[in-house]
Amino acid sequence: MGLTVDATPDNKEVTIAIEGRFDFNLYRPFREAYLPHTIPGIHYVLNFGATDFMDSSALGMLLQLREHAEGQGARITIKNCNSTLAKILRIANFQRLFTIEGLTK
Amino acid sequence: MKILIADDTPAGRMVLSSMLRKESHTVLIAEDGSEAVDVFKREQPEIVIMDIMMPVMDGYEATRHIKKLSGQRFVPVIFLTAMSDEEALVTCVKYGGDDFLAKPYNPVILKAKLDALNRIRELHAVIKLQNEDLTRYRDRLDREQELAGQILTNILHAGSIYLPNLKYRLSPANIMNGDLLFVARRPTGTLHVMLGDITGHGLSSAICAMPAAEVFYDMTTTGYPIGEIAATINQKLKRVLPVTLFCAACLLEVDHTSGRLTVWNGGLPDVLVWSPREGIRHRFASQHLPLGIVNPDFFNASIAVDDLRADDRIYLYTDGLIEATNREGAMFGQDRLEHCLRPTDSPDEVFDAIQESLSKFCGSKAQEDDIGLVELPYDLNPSYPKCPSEVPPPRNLFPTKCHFDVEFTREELGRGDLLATLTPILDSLHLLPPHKEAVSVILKELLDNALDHGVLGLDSSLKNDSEGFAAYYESRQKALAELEEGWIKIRLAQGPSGVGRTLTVRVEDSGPGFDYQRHPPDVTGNIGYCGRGIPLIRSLSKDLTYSGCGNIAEAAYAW
Repeated sequence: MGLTVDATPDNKEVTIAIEGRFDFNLYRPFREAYLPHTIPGIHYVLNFGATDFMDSSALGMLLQLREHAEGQGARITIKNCNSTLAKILRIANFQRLFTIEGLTK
Repeated sequence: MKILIADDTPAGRMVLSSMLRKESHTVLIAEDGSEAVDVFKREQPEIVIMDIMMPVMDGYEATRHIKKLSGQRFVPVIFLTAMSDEEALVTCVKYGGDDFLAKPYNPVILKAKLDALNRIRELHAVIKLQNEDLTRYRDRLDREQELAGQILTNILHAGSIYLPNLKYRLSPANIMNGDLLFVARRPTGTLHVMLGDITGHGLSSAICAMPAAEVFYDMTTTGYPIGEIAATINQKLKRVLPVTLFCAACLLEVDHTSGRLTVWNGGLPDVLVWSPREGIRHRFASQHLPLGIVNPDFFNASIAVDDLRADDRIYLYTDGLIEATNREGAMFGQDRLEHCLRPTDSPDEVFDAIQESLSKFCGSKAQEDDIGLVELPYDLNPSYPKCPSEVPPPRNLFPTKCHFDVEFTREELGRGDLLATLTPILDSLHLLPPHKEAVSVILKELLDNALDHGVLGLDSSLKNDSEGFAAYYESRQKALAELEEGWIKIRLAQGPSGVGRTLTVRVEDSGPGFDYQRHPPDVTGNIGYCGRGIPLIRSLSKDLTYSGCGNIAEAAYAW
């Protein structure tokens, strides 16, 4: 369980990878992962390849990132969701708010 | 520090007390164990130095008493012993001793020991203080949560959650419940149900239940349809909630007159329509974002419809049910739920079977998320307005004689629920229940007929083919969007008649009408202005007549 942050050398793309459960316990680490990387037009990539599960507070955290990104003119891409995550995002219809690889708008 | 020395030998007492006084400690003296206990009670020293062998009461016994008397307070006891006596050391610890001092006494070692024990003592005192603070804080929080929980329950259940056939389970993972269930009826008697699941749980999520409840109950009793209620709740929650909080919710309307089920699902798992013979026979997947996320301009109030049959049941649940985990971390899951919803001969046991399956699966694992589950049978004792003759005439009539004329233009016809627009006028007639409900039903049916069949020219037989209401609803939406001209005029006239009163509801539309003389609408059932509502209007009103070219309907309600 944990969270890792990787930025490209030019700082234009930041990848946040989450391992295990994405829930309220990651509230602070998740915010601290993207807040320092705030340059206009940045691309946030959320890699859920190692994420087993997310709860509704994680959805709330995504909304918070989205609000932050809107202020920066930044993009967000969510990728590598397993079927559980895809279903959770689909039920909440988050494909209308985020670019989610594998889910059509 | 205030230090007590318990020693029966004057020489020992002398050596120790002079060492301690040199370090500016206050010294108290006891000559045996019993006296040590007395002095301890009276003077409350901070550290005790205790000899073992003493007359009257030995050091072990005295230490036991002192440790008991000090309770939560940490009072270190140092035993005076000979280094060689290992067994004595073990006994010292057993009776509560904290350290040892071997003879002959070395002032440097004594000072070091006192310093070390004093540090522990101070730490202990701080922890004790903090612990007391925490306990007080937790007690206060528990009390406040309990009170807030009671207040919330009163607010949230302000409507008519009590319906004999409605089964529900809302189990709070915390004192405060992140799940909410509202049930109320529109003036026409149709039932509105809302199940919501607010992000997280506890106080902050319970607070957002309040604006949602207020909007739901106000708008339902005023007569608004669920799409508009969802839009208003969304608008309100969007304004008040922090960005991380939202409310996944499903609103549904059950119309017992027409058998129509209307659903707005934003973020809850599939709403299931179930019949004992077929099992799950229809699903309403989440079509929308949860409430409180999108700006009102982007809100989508569109609904999905299905037609219900007599023994249908509707199942609503929150993700807490599907995601409930057992000790191994596995989830209850959709499949286990749907396994309970296979066809069965004993439909009344299904709700309990789901709960049993869940508790068997989860075992002794504590519940993490809020779990909400609702079973809503279609034949919910529809409490429709009774026939006027069964109800005594009301007093305090006001006003004595009056009428209202209202015209809906084309723009108004496309804008939403006509009946809700008329509700304030009905209110101003001061009709008492159940007359208000009866008049609402008559008005709704006449308005529906005037709009659907008169202005839009829809064929009600559409409702009977295999696609049912969904197709009907779609063609209705299409016709409304494409409507170029049309109007509906309504006159509500109230006045005395005989010993009672009469209210006539006259609805005229811009449509071509129908040949009412050749096709009495209540007989054929499928021609012209008929729908399932006509028999209902007839059962409620004294008289239903058609005039003009069949485009004017007038119902008289008397009491």
